[in-house]
Amino acid sequence: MTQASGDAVGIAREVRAGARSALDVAERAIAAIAAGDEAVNSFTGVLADRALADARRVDELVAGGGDPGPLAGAPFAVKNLFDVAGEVTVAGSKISAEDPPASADGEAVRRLSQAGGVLVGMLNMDEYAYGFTTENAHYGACRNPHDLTRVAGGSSGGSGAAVAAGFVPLTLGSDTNGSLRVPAALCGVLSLKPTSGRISCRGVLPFCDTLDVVGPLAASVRDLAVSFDVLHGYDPKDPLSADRPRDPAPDLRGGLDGLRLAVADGYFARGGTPEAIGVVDELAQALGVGRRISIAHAAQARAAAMVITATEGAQRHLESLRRRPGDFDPMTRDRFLAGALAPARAYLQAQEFRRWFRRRIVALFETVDVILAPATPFPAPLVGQREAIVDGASVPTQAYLGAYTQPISFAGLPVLTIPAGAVDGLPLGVQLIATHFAEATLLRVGAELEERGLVRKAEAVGRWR
Amino acid sequence: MDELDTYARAAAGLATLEIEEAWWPGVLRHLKVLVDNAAIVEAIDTTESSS
Repeated sequence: MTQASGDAVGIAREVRAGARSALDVAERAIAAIAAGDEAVNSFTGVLADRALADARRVDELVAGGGDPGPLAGAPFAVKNLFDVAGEVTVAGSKISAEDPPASADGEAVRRLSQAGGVLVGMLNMDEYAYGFTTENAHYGACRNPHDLTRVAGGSSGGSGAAVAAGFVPLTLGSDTNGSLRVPAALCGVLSLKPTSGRISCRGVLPFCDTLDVVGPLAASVRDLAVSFDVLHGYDPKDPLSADRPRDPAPDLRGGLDGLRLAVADGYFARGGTPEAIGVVDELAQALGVGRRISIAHAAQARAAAMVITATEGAQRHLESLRRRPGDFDPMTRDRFLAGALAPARAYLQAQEFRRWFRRRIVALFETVDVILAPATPFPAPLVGQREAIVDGASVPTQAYLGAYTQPISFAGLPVLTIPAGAVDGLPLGVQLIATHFAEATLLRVGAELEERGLVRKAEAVGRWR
Repeated sequence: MDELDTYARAAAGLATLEIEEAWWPGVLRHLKVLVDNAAIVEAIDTTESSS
């Protein structure tokens, strides 16, 4: 039995009620990782001492009549670009592995811990978050728990795989172009990509400041809701944090009443396998959603996102590119070098277009509350697969996995990704997209879909044992 | 690709980036993607009304 026989909220309820000890939960999580992660390779470090000490503190609080918080004793793990006190923030790289250990937890890690969560380890990722497959040259490929010959997605691949494998019920990842949504979809779990600036990125190694966000991955909507409630809020020490009041705790009741839903048409209805697009149509049909809506200039938004990502990322790592380019993961190095050579005009035009695109998106959401779109153009590719066939044409597997996610994050929109079906046992996801700062609406819709059995979580635990 | 190659090698020199010969095909392939994407973005008339 893995520890994750319940979701994080379920575990926390039992721990707070004294029905289960946090220490027992933590020990089971550590044992499950030790027993199963050699095959999956989702963890790059396990923090047994810290986890057991934190779990004991939670149990002592409960025994003393105190309240450890809404995540009491729930084990969680974080993508290894989050600062963890006393640990080196490697960000999937060989170069940053030589940095000194972090002096404090990143703000998101701190908030989950303060809410009673028990941090058990750090998770595999694409080097410096630049990728969609977590085929890391330094730390090995993270495998998809549904089929170990396939990738887990990326760049938060370890974060998706660790939840899908049942090692922990809750993880943190980051998303610049789709790095929460792609692994969530390919691993058959849920993720919440918040609005830009919603959750503090302090203590997170940046990839591309103007696009980066951090968010949770989990196996239930209520876990995402509680995590979001704990995580969100203005952080004056994060220069890109949104200075606005905290939302009330998300209300998961209310169903779909009064909400206008539509299916993304045009760009989002082509360029993927019939199954990847079909799960959106099936979900829409189950909900009685017939309206279709076009997100104009999505292809151009993806193009601009790629320019911004490459150039900003390259500038961040320019000194390392000069001094020790041979120490980069080859797949990352070539793209960063290309970004370093791109003319400034390309970057500035992409940012100008982004402002224009964002205004159009804001206007679009005056007519709709939630848009449904596919999460990836195909299910998990094989590890090492470099090309895929879509609509009879060859596409580069790695880059193309973000085809449906990049235009959305480019506008800074919040997205709830849910598992909505499978093909040959491989999960497929759907993006639920709302206007800026409407995470509560997405969580409410997600809860309704879960209630109706439309969040189709696939059982991966045990397949690789 | 020749023009791109000439530009890229000059830009690498200005940026004091030492790129091994074996890496150039990959770098140029990715740079070509960026240049193509930049052209796609440049073609959009962002003076068009956003409403």
